[in-house]
Amino acid sequence: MNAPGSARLDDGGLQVERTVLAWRRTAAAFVVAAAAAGRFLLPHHGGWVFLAATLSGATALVVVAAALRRRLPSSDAPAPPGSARPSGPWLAAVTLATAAGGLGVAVAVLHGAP
Amino acid sequence: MVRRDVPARWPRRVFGRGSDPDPRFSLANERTFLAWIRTSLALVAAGVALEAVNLPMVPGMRRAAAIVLILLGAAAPAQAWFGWTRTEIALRLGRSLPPPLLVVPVGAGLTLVAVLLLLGLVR
Repeated sequence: MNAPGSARLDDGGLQVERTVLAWRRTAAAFVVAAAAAGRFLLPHHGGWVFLAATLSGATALVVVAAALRRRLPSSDAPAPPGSARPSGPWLAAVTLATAAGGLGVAVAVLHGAP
Repeated sequence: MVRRDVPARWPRRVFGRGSDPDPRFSLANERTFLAWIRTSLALVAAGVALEAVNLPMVPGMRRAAAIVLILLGAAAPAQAWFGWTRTEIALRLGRSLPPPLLVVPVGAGLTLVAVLLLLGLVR
């Protein structure tokens, strides 16, 4: 039997690997989205884009940090206890930062109305 | 009921209840959270792209469609967070899983966007 709280992963850790990859995919998406938002908003919306760009950049940083925190366990070692525990504060930070970035873009687009 | 004897893991509203579920379910829940975050990004990016590419259509309708997309994108993180907490609580208590609340608004919003784009392009 496994001790309570230990990661019992009968599939050799594939769930952890999928989750780590999901974090990395999200981080990559943030970097692309922040770059695209800056590139496309800048000519149209002037100064307001800096708010959106700052928020998007901060969001990308938070998600990249969270992605790095979710490390892939080495394949020959068992998943360490607690490796499967989601981290509430990190998820909350990603949520708030994403919402702030989205609202920033919304404000930029609304204020850039011709 | 929130237990007081367990070490504090935030949020207590989630981790203070029930017992740790099978890690695979928690990991799947975390991936669903991330999928909603990426959905938020895609919606915001679609709204920005719609304004940026300057489609030959009625400007008011294009603008309305872009704003609907961006507002849906700004709301999606709420589904990500509250969906994650509610699902994790249900897993810890062995209850049935809650339905995602934002599915209908996102579906309705995307339909509205499609209608706006069609009308704007045809006119």
